Amino acid sequence: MARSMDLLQGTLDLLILKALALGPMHGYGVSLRIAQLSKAGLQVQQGSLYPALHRLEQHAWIQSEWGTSDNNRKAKFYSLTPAGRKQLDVETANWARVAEAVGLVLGAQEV
Amino acid sequence: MKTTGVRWIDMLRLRWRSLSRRNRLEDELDDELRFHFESLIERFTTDGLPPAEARRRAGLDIGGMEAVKENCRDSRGVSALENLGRDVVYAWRAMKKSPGFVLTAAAAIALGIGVNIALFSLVYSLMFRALPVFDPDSFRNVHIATFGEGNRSGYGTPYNVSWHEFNYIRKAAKTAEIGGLAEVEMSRKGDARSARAQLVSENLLSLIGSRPVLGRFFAPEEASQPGSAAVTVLSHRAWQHWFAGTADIVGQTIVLNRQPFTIVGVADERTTGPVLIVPDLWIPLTMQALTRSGEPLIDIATSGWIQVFARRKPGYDDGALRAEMQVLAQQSLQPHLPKRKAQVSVESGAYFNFPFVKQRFKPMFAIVTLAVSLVLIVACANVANMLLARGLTRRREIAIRLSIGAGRARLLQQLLTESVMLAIVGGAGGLFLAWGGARLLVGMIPAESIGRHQLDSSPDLIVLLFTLGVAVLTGLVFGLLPALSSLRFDLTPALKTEGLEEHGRGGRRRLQNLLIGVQVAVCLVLLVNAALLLRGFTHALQLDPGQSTRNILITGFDLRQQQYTAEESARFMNTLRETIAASPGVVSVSNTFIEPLHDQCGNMARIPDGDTAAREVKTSCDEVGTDFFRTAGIRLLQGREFTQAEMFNTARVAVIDERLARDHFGSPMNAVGAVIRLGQRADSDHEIVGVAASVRSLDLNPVAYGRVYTPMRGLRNNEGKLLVAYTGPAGDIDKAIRAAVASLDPNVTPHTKRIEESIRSALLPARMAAAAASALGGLALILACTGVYGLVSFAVSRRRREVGIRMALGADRVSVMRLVVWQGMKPVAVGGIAGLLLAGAAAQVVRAMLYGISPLDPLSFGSTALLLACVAAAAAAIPARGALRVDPAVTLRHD
Repeated sequence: MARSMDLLQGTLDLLILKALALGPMHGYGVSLRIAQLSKAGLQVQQGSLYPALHRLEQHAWIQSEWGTSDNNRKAKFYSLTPAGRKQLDVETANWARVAEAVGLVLGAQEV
Repeated sequence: MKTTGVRWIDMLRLRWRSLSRRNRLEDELDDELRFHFESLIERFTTDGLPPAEARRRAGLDIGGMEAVKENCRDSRGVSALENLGRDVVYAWRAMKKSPGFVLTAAAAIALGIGVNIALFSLVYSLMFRALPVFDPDSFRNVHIATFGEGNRSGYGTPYNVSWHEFNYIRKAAKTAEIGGLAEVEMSRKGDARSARAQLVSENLLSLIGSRPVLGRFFAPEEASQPGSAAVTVLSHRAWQHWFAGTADIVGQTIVLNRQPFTIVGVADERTTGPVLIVPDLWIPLTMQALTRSGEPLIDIATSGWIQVFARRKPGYDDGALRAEMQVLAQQSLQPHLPKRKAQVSVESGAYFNFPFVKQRFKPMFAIVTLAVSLVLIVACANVANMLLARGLTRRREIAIRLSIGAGRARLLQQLLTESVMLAIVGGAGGLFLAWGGARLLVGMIPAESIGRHQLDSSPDLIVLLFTLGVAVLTGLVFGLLPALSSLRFDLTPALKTEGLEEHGRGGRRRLQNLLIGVQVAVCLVLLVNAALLLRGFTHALQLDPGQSTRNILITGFDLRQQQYTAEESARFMNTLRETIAASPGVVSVSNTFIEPLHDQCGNMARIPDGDTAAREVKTSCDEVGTDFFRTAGIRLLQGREFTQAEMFNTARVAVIDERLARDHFGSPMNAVGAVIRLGQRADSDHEIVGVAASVRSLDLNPVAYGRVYTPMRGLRNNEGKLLVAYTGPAGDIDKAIRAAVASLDPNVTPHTKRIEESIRSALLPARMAAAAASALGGLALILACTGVYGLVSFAVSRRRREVGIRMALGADRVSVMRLVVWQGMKPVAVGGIAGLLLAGAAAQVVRAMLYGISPLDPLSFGSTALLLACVAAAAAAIPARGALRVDPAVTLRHD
């Protein structure tokens, strides 16, 4: 298993919002989905995943509901709210700007 | 790391307690993380690990469970409710730590809130509390007012209807069953007023949910035609008291107003009737003529005397009931008063919810509310000062909490929670004070004046909610300033030393002084008004009322209950008058319709002005016999009294008083010989034969009307009063009157009183107002002085060092004492001046009750200010003596 990378502050929120944009999912599923999409490049620690989920819910960007998981267990499913969808757009744009800026800085070093 | 087994036990335990939001959220968090944990185990097992290893790996993966949970709680934030819960627990602990402070503060609040609750519960139980009837939710008062053209007379409230109207409405009503009631006094065993009866429609008793314990209630045919039927239902109490609870009471007779009534039943013990006064028995409405023999109201279609109640039928609301009653009331007027308009209001059943009561008592109610609120304000200022002083001693605690990161908003909430809890404790005390006070007050109403009443002033849910509301508001009011003040300071010095001093603390001291000033000012407003009312009251006793106020006996009869005809009662009165006039010690005798110095008769008079136009003038009226003005000691300014002949012929003559003569005829001289119209038509024109001095009414009427006297021919409504002017002891005259009455008709009981008693009863409202204002002022004075006491003793304890230094430097005791006392008296002086100004404005409100004393009466203001200054000075001096005991050597060594 690849070593998990430390995530930039705020990046985790973006990842969770993106993961949930693909459809409602429980916390465990969110961590699996992020791992899958990053081809196991990003491992979200539970220690930061759940506080982040609760924080996002507090901001009303996501909402939760108890449901049944694939393996027939009671699980708490999170889904994106309209406000969360807007937030996802904002943070995606932010990330693009930061990534571009960081890329420029790193590019300059190589010359 | 904890094992899952333990976790499951924890889980169960939490489930049991999972009633609060906090526990529910905790449970959900546990469930969520457990799901994650078990999903991991499942995955590792699927990957081929043995179960124990999979569990171990999952545990490692998830990390410290408790830390995760704590982080989740943090990011969720803490709810306001949880904070409140914590604050309440914390405040409770703080209160337990200083019971002395809590007791003092709560006592002050209890006084302030108590007077408010007392007033509220009195008004509430009179005007709003549900009647003691079965299912009060569907029981309604129907108030039918009428206005417009056509003469209509009313007995009791203006909302009563006549027998004709009542029957029409009752028969046609679809939305409710209608019942009617009229209260009357009857004579039993020859003693007038010895039985209180309610004339009722035959359905009223069952309408209020009463059941007979013996016999039955009235049958419809017993209450259908005027004069049917001489039957009665006894109250449980009358059965027990009058007949010793004999079992075979049904079928026996009881003589009321000289008429035997057959007892058909006894009502159960709970039945006390739907009005304030509890009756002894019930008789059918149709027996009305018997209770008022001179003038049976039941035959007069325009005479309202029946109070209307409605029991709403299922499926109809108050709107439907009101709409139907409005239509029916209007239709019921059609046969006899077609041009009159009816106006109906439907109210939840209560004793005293008449529209005119709500209107007329509004200003008085506003004054009283203001007065009790003022007491509460004084109490608030008082407790706020205690909290300020206490805030200083808690500086260190607050500084520590601020420095370890508590938000000021959170701390403010915490401090306010404490003060609200304090106020609730005080409110609970106030509830008890009010309950006792209201009972005391209600007990003060003389029973013989209104009969046995069933006013219930005990606290119920509404009163509790009111108390809670006032307490919370009070707590916020007195807690806010001290709380803000204790949060607004520099952390560092507060943390460093406990005993830091007043340097730079001018803000707090100013606030303390302001609060003392407020207490003193408000207290003065109350005290000055109390003094004014007392002065007005004593002044009223010494006023020249325009007539003699001593050596007159007033004898009242109620011949209605004796089945006298108008002629019989006129003969009775004349013979009686002559018999008494011949008794030794009697100077002169006359008759009058109303009690001297009261103002109970009002009339519209018209004064012809030019050819056709007539000015309408409101007047007060009286009917008097021969010799009236001489007997009452009223000077005749012009013209003459009524002659003996005028008492028996039909001459339309009148005597008016000086006020009416000056206002509408220019002078007494011009009035004599002029004409005044006392009815609608020309045949009610009266010639003015004399002008008498104006008599001052002692009733609290804001406007005094001119008075018109007309000859008293016979007895009006079989009611009348005999005035007897006498010399010598009143007891002898009273005996002579009794003997004269007994020789004429042993069944008639005269009720004789001296004019002094009559004056006292007329002044009762003024006296009660003065007493209430004095009590409120006294409370405020006590509170304000404990405030001054507290301020000075606080200052003494805080300035121990300063005093020590001053004494060490040679200040003598007198100057130290002066320093400390002056510190307490300065805000008293400032507040006192403000209070005198405010009192001057407030006194205008009670002007009507001052009987001519100026609202700015210097004696009242001066004496009150002096009293307050003396008491405040004493309150300041007692703790100030503590400063004299300061030993410089000790205080200076303290640091």
